Amino acid sequence: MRQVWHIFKKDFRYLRYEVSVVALSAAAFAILHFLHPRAGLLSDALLYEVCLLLGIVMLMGRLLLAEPISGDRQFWVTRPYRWKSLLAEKLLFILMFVNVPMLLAQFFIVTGDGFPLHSNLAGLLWSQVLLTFLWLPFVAFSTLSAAKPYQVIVFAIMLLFGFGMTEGNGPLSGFGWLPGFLMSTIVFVTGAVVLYVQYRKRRVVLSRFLAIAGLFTVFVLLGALPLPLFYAVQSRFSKQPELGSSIHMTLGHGSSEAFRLKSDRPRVLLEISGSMQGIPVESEIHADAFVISLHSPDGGSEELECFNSKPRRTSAADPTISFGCFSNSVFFNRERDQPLSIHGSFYFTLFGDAQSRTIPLTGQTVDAGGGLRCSVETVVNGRLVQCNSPFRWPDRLIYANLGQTTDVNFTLPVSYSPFPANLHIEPFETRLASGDLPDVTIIAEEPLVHLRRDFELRDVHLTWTK
Amino acid sequence: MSDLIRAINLVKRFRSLRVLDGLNLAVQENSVFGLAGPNGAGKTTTIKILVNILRPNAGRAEVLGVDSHKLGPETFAQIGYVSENQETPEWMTVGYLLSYLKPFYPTWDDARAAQLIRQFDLPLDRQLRHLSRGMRMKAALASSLAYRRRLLIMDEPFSGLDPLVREDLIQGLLESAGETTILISSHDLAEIESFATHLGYLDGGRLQFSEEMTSLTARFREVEVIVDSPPLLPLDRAWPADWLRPETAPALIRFVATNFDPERAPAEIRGVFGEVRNISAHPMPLRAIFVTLPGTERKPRLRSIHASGLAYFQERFPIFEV
Repeated sequence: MRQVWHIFKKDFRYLRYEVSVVALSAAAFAILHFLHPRAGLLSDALLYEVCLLLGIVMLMGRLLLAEPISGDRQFWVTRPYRWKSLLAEKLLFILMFVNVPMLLAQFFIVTGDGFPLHSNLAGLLWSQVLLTFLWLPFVAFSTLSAAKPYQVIVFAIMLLFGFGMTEGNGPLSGFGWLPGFLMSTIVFVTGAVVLYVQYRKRRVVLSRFLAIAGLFTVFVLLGALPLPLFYAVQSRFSKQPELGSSIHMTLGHGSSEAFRLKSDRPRVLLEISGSMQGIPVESEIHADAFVISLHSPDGGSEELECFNSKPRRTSAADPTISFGCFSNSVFFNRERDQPLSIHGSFYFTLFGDAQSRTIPLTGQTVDAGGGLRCSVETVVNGRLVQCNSPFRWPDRLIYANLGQTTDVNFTLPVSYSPFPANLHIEPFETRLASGDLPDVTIIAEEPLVHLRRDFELRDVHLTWTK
Repeated sequence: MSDLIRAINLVKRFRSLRVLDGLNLAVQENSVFGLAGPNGAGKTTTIKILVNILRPNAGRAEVLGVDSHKLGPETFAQIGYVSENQETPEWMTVGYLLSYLKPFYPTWDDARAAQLIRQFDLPLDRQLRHLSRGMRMKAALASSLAYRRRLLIMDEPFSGLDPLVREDLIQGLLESAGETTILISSHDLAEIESFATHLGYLDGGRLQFSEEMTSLTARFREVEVIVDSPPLLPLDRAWPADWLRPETAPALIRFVATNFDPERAPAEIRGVFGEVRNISAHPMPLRAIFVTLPGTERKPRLRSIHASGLAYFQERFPIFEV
C-alpha cells in the first residue's frame, strides 16, 4: 500500500494539469446546470463535456505512458516495482480523478434539482460502474503497444464512445439492454484479463491475442445471439408472470385476406393483423419484437423484417394488433403462386397498474411520481411539459396527457433494463411533450409480464392489394 | 565463488533474425565482467534478457539465483541497471528522481547519494530532459549506485560520451567495484580494459571467448624473433598451434603466442627456428588480443610483412616495437 501511495503522489505531481482540467471541467459542467446563463459558447454545457472528455482521455493516456507496459526501454521494469502496486495505483488514480469528479458533479446536479439522494444513490453509483466499464477496456487495450499512433487511435476511439455517451439517446429499447450488457461485460472482462496479464507478466503478444479473441467473440455474438435467449432472460424479471396465461393471440381470420401486400420493389410489404384475447382490464400490450419467416413447400424460406404498425394502444377495449413485415421481392415473385406457411413469434409486454399525477401550470418542477420530476410551461401553441428522470428513463410506459399530444417520443423508447443508470455524463434523461389541455397529467404504467406467443399459419396465399 | 549470472543456451530471435544462438555465460561474484563484441553482436539483447525486459525463445538465464523471467522487486532491489537506451522519466528533476527512487530500495544510502551528486556534479533542480546525454547517464548511474546492490548491469554506458564524462563515470564505478559484481557491455574494448576483471567476447550470437583478464593479458604476447636469414612461412617444421598470426619480414618473424610462458618460450622458439639472434615479447592491448583470436577477425590478415607493410602492422598494434 505504501508503494501504491508513493507512485500515486508521483503521478499526481506529473499530471497535476490534466487532473485540474478534468476537475475544473466537471465543476463547470455542474455549476452551469444551475446558473442557466445566457446563450454563448461558454454557456454551452457541451463545451464542458468536451473539455471533460478530452481531459479524461489525456489524463488516462499520459498516466499509462508514465510506466508503459509495452516496449523494451522503459525505466521502471528494472526497478523494484510491485506489479500489484502499479496496477492498483493506475486504477486508483483513474477512479480518484475521473470517476470521483464525475460522481461529485452528478451528485450536485441531481440533489440540487430536488431529487432525494437516498432514492438515487444506486443510480449515482451505477453510473460510475458503467463509466468504469467504458474506460477499463480502453486502458487495457492501450497497454498493448507503446507506439504513439496506436495510443492516439485507442483513445480517439474512447473519445468517440464518450461523445456517443454524451449525445446518445439512452439504451436500446425493450430487450436491447441485454445484448448491450452482454457485449460490454465481455469487453470489460477481456480488458480486465488483458490488464492482469500485462501488469503481472508483461506478455504483450499473449495480451494482444486475448484482446483480439475477446473483441472477435463480441463481433460473432452480435450476429449470433437469438432473441428467444434475451426473452428467456427478460421474462425472469416479470413482476406478475401469472397474468400471461390468460392472454392469447389470433391472427387474421383463417384466410388470406388478412395478409395484404403493397407494391414497391425491391421489397414487398406484408401486413399482418390479428387480435389479442384475455388482456386484463386497465392494462395494455406493448409490442417488443416480431420474428417472422415465410416458408415455401419446396423448402425456400425468408426471414422478414417486421415492425408494429398499429398507432393506438392494444388493450381489452381495442384488442387488435397489426404489424408490417418486409419481404424480398425476388422471393415473393418466385413463391407467390404457391401456398406458403408463416412461422413467427410475437414478443410483447403487458403494462398496467397505472398511476397518474397532475402537474400544475406553475412553471415549477414538481414530483411526478416514479422518480420523475416535471414542469409545465405555457408556450405559443399550448402547453409544454418537460420531465427529468435521473440517470435513466424509467422502465415504464409514461404518457403525458395534454389533449392533442405529440407524446410518442415522450413515451418511447422504453428499456426494460433492471439497472438504475445509463451511461451518460448528463445525469438526467429529459423528454418533452406538448399539447393544448389546461392540465397536464402524467400517467405511468408498470411492466407486469413479458410474454411471447408463437404462431404458424399454413396454406397462406399472398395476393397483391392496392 | 558463485556465479551471480548464468545464461545457458540462450536463443533469441526477432522474426527471422537469430540474435542469440545458444549463448552460455557465467559471471562470478565480485567480478567486473566486460562483455565485448561488435555492434549488433547481441550484447544488449543478452542484457535485456538478464534483466527480464525480453524473454528468450529458448534456454534460460539466472540472475542472483533467480530465473530471469521471474525477477521480482526483491531481486531488483539488489540490482542496478544502467543502459544507454533506457528511457527516463524526463519530466523529473534529478533531485526528484533520486527522492522518488529512494523508498523502492531498503538499502538506500543518503550519504552515498549526496556524495555521488557532488562527485558527478549533478544539478538537482534540473529536469532530466534538459540534461546532456552525459549528465543523464551520470544521473542514471547515481540512482543505481546510491543503494547497496549485489549486481550492477550496464549496457554501453559510455557510448558517445566525451572523455571527461567517461572518466567521471569510470571513477564512480571503480569506487563501487569490489563491493558489487558488475556486468558491463561495450563495443569498445578500450573502455572496459582499465577495470574489467573478466572479459567475454560475444559475436554471432555466441560467447566466443570468456576469461579472467589477468590470465588473458598474461598469456598473450606479441613475439618478435630476429634471425640471420629471411625465413619462409609456412615452415617445414611443426608450427605450434598456440602461435597465431605468423608474419615475416627480412630477418624478422612475428607471431602471437597465446599461451606465452617466459621460461619455456626461448627454448620453444629455438626449437622451431634454430639459432636466433634476438627474441622479444611484448604485452598486447585487448584490442590486439581480440583481433588475434580465432573467430574474432573481421578482415583477412596479411601473411607477410614487407617494408611497406610495417606501417600497417604498427597501425594495428600501436605498442609494437621494431
